[in-house]
Amino acid sequence: MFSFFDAFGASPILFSVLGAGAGIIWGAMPGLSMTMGMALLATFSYGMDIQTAAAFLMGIYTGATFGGAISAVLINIPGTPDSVPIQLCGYPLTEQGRGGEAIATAIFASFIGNWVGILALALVAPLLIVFALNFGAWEQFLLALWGILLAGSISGESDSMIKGWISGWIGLAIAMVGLEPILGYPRLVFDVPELRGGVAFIPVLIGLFGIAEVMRIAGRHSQKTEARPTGPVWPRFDLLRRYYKSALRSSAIGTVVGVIPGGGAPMANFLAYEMGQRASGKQFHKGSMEGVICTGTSDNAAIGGSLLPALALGIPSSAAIAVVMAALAYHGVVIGPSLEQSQPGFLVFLFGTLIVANLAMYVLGFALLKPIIRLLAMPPALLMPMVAMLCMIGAYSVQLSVFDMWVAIGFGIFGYLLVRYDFPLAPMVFALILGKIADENLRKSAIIFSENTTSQLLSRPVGLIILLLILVTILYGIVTTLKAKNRPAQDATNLNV
Amino acid sequence: MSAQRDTHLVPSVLTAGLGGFLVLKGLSMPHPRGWSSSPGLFPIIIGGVLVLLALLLLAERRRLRARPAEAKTFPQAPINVKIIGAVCGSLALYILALHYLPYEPPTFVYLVLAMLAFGSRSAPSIFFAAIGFTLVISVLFTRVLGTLVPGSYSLLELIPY
Repeated sequence: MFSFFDAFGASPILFSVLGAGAGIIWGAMPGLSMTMGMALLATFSYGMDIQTAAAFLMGIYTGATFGGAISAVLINIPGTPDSVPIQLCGYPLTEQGRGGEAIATAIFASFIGNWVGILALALVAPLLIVFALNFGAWEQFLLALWGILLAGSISGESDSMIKGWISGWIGLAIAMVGLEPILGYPRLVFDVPELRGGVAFIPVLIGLFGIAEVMRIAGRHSQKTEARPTGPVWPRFDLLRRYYKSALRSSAIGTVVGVIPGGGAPMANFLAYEMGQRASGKQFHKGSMEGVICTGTSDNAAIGGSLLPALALGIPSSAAIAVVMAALAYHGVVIGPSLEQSQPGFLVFLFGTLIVANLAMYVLGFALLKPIIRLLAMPPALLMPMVAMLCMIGAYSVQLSVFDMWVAIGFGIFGYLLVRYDFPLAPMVFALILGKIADENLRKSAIIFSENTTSQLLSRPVGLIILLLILVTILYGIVTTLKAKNRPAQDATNLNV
Repeated sequence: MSAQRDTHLVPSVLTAGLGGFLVLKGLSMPHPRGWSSSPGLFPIIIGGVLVLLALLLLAERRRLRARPAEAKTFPQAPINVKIIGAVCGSLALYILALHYLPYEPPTFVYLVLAMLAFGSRSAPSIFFAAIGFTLVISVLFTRVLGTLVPGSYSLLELIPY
């Protein structure tokens, strides 16, 4: 049994603070993606008890979500892809000598946005869970399928939706490896005993996002980065009062858009930036505190939104959430609609950890600013070999298996090639988490529907609606693929995570 | 499109190949009470969908070649086979070394050599970063988290706690 107040115990608070600190530092370092950080830092949670592990993971997630803003605003390099909008409006302020003010306002805006996300999550999640508990095997299969298709559509929107879908379905194929759950038949194990338990999720992530990134940065001539003088580091509370409408609008955008699988914070932040710019009539890219407030609130409000489909439906909305789900599953906590049955009180406990993590992020955001500025000067030549070693020990720690280190290397090559051929990685990550759920529920449904299939299908309106959504998503993707359209020249920024 | 790397042809061929393989593998799996309860059902579906997606990818390639203005115009990073070989080869040697040696020496040596390979030339920075990282990870995992590190053993186990 868990309770809301368990989150305020000594151990959860301590590890939430440690997690938030580690997340902020990781998120601030350019070239180290949030998903990579989550996958590696989650390694440290395996030796903890459930409460401490959950607090630690929420701390990392909250900290890393904000952390990218530090390097984006101060050195014009986004630490994470969702920090690109705040870079556009924040770095010009640094050039004007107002970097300290900008980043302090970003910290406060993120703090406010987080509260909105947590509130939305606390209000909506229980209602959605009650609704989702009525889902049968067929609906759960369709939801998993739609989540993967949607992630593929959104992740591949800028280049090719077909590539997004291929990425997702390859992920499903990888999820098939191992003993299948109903008859215990070994699938795609190729007589390798270590594969009978399937391919472990965390080593795959470490390979796709960690080792692949080391390969990408190797061979690039990266220079040391220097931060400009920041000036006084003090948030402008008066600006938040002045732009409270922008803050509320952006928080709502972050929460709602954060729900969408494959979309999440990057899309929410760009939308908040764009809508804020239109509403204010200003040009944010010339430097704007209002822009910083819009993107800061949206970024962290998306935390609550992104947790909603995971908690209520068992569908991760981002690769980072997928890591949280996998890490908690390691502790026997299966995130999804049946969470309250299997772990009573865990949901409200999780809300409590989010509150603690938000407070920790606010305090540590200021406390760690100067050390992070020094760390940002660390050359990649020193950093990347350490990341490679972290990847190795991270992959090993999941099951204390050297085989997982080989898995990480293999998927590192795979991830490197996928990105070079413009395939998004997020749909594959979702499919790895959802694949076994989809498989099991498909087979259960096939057995249930073996008689009177049509009447059974027609008697399930929720299933019909999800089926319709799947068909619309597929049709949209096929029409977009085959139809001519004017595609503007795009930036080479990789928004794979 | 010819000035850019063709990012459709090879992936579509490989995807079709993977799809076909999965269909064949799925068909070879047992189905004692029909396909609805067979472990091969989902692999067959996945394989079939991958073949279809491969064809759609080829169709997209055809459309882009007919309309080059729609193709991406930003510079593409090259596939550097030497880098893949160097990074993966060095990690493979590192893992093999761990079969015979404790955790700390191969980790320290790997870090030093990798930092040199990545272009760092400051001997004090390399030495202190490598030794600091190795010690921190070793202490963190063996003493704080109470778990194991890869390798035959950790040198810290030789120090009484």
